[in-house]
Amino acid sequence: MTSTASLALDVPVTGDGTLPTGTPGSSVRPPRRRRSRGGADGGQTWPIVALVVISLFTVAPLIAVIVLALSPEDAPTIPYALPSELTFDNLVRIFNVGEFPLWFWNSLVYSVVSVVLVLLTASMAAYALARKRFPGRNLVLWSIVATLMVPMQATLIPTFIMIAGWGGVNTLWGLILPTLANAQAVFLIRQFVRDLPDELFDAARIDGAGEWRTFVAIVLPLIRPVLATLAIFVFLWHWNDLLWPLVIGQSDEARTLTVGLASLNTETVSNSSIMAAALISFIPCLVIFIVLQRHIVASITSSGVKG
Amino acid sequence: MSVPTAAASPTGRAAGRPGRTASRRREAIAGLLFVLPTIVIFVVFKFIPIGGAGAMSLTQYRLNGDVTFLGAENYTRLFADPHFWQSLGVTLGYVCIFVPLIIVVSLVGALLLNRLVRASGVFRALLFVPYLSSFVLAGIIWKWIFAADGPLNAALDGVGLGPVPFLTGEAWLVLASLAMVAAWKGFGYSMLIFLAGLKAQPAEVHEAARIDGAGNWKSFWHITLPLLKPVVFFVLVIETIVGFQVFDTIYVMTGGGPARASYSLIYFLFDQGFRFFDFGYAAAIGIVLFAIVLILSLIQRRFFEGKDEQ
Amino acid sequence: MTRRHLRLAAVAAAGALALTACASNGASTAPAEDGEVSGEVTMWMYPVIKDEAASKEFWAGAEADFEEEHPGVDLTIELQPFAKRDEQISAALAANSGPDLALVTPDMAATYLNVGGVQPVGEAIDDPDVFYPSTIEAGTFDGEVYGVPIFQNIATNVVNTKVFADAGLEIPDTWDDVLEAAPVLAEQGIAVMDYAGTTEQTLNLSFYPFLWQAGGSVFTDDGTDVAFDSKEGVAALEFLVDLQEMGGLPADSATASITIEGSPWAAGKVGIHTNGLPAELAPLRAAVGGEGVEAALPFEDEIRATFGNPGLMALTSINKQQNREAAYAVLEFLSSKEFQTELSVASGNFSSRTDVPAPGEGADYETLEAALEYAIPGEPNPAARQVMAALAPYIQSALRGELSPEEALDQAADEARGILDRN
Repeated sequence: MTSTASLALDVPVTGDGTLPTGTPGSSVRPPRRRRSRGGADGGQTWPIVALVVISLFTVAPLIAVIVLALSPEDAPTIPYALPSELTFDNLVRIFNVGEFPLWFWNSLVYSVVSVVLVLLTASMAAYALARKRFPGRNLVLWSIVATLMVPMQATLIPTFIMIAGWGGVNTLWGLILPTLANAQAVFLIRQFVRDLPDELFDAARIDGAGEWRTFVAIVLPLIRPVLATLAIFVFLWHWNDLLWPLVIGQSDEARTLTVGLASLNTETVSNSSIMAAALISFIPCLVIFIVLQRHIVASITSSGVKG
Repeated sequence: MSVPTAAASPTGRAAGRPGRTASRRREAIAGLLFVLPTIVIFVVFKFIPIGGAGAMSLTQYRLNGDVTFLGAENYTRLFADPHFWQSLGVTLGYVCIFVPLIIVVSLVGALLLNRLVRASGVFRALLFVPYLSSFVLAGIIWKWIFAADGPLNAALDGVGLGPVPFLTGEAWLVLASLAMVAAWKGFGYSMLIFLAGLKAQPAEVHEAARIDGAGNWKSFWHITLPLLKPVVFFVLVIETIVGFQVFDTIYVMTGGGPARASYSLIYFLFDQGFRFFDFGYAAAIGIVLFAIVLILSLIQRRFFEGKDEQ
Repeated sequence: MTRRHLRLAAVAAAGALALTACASNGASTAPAEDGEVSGEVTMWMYPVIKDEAASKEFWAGAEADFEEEHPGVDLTIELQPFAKRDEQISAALAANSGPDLALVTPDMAATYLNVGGVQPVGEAIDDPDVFYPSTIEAGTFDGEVYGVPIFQNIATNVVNTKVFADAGLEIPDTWDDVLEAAPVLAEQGIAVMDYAGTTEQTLNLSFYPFLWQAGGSVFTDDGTDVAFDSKEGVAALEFLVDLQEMGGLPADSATASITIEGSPWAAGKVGIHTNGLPAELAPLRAAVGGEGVEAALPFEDEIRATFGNPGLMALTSINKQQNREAAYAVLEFLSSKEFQTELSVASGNFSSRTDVPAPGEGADYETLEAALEYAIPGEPNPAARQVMAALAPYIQSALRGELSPEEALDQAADEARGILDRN
């Protein structure tokens, strides 16, 4: 995982384990409280103006990508002129440049499989670490948490050598496996499971539910909010990851979109094709954001900082 | 399977009773089974590579698998290597531009959003959206924006400021350009953390200040910011660590150039590892990076523990 | 995320895993039947044909043609970008996973041989005499041939004749001519020549030709030391730095890439494009309006010299014994007269075979053919690529005025000697 990947969720963890604070089961929502400062809407003009300016700064480059991606290949375009017509030619053609469809598929597999496996293994571990007593439990927990302080780049070389030794270079499993060790996920889910009410588990025990059934039927449904949040972030980190896929996916069979995009950014490919590829790579993230915006914002605002 | 009295008190000290012991053992076995996949994953992909990095950094490890034990030679070579110090200087320079920049931008964004009564959701989304992009995508866009014949220089030309060599000029300009790209991509996240911190501040304090006649600026400086200090510190450390690991934008935009002006620590590691195949030496660079991040993390942890004791 | 979404994701994940499993199972090779060659061969090819679509079509066709001739062999040709080619192949060798065959330059072959990354291919060459001797020699180390030449590259000057005609100047042929023309053109905002200083560009196509023209070399004859910090080396770098200072190079030469689109050449602000490849002639001509562009011999100073390497198809250490015969079959196919003729026409490069005609007719190709006489195939040294990576940023520093030519080359030489010591 990239630097940001391993860091993004340091936030909750380094807050010393006080989160998430919301009652498990009730979904984490952004605070809806509205505080009126300065009374009426009178004081609202200049913050809105300032925000419009900042929004231009954040959004204009992305709009430019869309315009360039939809511009005819040889037409003069921004900054010198606006395209006279818009076309989907670039988006269609990009699927013939290099092995673009394969890269897209690899990115999708890398992200989706990682999300599923990380969430599954981490919730199982989190359940055991929060609810089961077994010898060495604290040692396991703190060893996992301690790995948060090890940047991924520090272990890049030995991990590469190890995967290479197993023949995992240029394979999707070689790409995915080392990224499954996600301490943030374990830690975050553990906090959540720990705060579930004891009565639920007592009731399950009295009903004679087995361990696996308790986990699947009681724990998993209750921790859905935290799983949804993690799913989004784990997806984003993998989808946007560069360094690990770069060293492990040298060949098209395992090259991801980010690595492919970085390699397109040279020589023979026209600017409009590159922008078309860039646009396509961004669409899944945008869709996820639009659909699940509530969770992303809620997770950072509610669990980001101890109050 | 249940012993009612024990179930009622999970911390019960009912050891010695046979049913209790059996249930305990079952619980321990179940717990271990549930945690086993994670243990295996972490041992294989974290602990072994960490040990491996330490061990490899003491050897010369060649492309064809030949290993020679070197002792501390990689480290003495590293500390005598001008490129190491140069990359450390480049990285520090980058961090010194990037961290203040991203903190100011995200803090300003959060303060503005916090003041909004209406439409804050829309603006929050608009400001957050670059966070969804990859550094590769950000690098591609901004490389085009910064180009000699790109839109930014076209605009600067229009007002007579001439072409600015954002990615090919002086070292500080290149680093500032790279820092700007990373801040553009990353500030949405820190902004939301600041926003959460602001929302958590008690409204009464601000009301009191207002009644006392404190102006916006004064109230920010004397009330909002001091209350926000732990959050600022937190974001500071996180973004410093992010800054130390800068790689993707450099890989896409400058290739470490021009003339090593953006040759960062991770780029140095990548070059030594995957261009020169000096794996042992690259591992030693990784260990140094680890030490830096560890120190930063410990400062952070210490700070938060200190806060708990108060 | 609802439960249904999660289930969908899980199904997708399971499907993906099944697919990857299939992919890795497919790697096993069927045993040979009745003498028929069989096996799987992966080959990494690069944009020797500049046009992306044409390149794709050509190599897909080559793959199909070969498999028709050898139904037992599964050939996969992967098209890779030139940028970071060295890192990519090295990583594949380190991982022992990747191409059986890869297109390399002689100095890359030497580097990989040093770590056991390439294997001899002599057995795949039926008759060495059909090739130009230099193309075979370039890949021969210790009496073994480590690369089958599939084409002969040649870099030379490409001139925008209009620039010189307008200024009333002769087309420069020597360094002195260049230095004389530079200030005249600089007055009109035109650079007498360009220089691709980006570290992505191989020094074989930027600094080294000037070094050779000055009479210098990268390595000493026995290859145990670097020699680019000699007075010839300093002269070569001084030539470039002086030109830069007098406006004889475009302002951004220290970082310039080889992209034609949007370059000073395309704006008509460059007199001579240095180290142009045959395949670049047409796009260079098109970029300035379709005429007034011609190939010229490389510059002369102490000697007349340029870079011209055979494209070597090397057999990597990744190739397994059971795929050996199949890889030989591919190499034989690639070196056949028929294939080399097609490649030569498609790429605009000369063939490595004496019995294949030049890729085109007319003055340009006569000049290119004449330039072949001055071609140096690079200096094959096990540390060639590492030394190149160390040297390139120092040349940038000198062009940017941060270091004097002597300082830059001295510091680069110190670093390069460290690399040689460790090798």
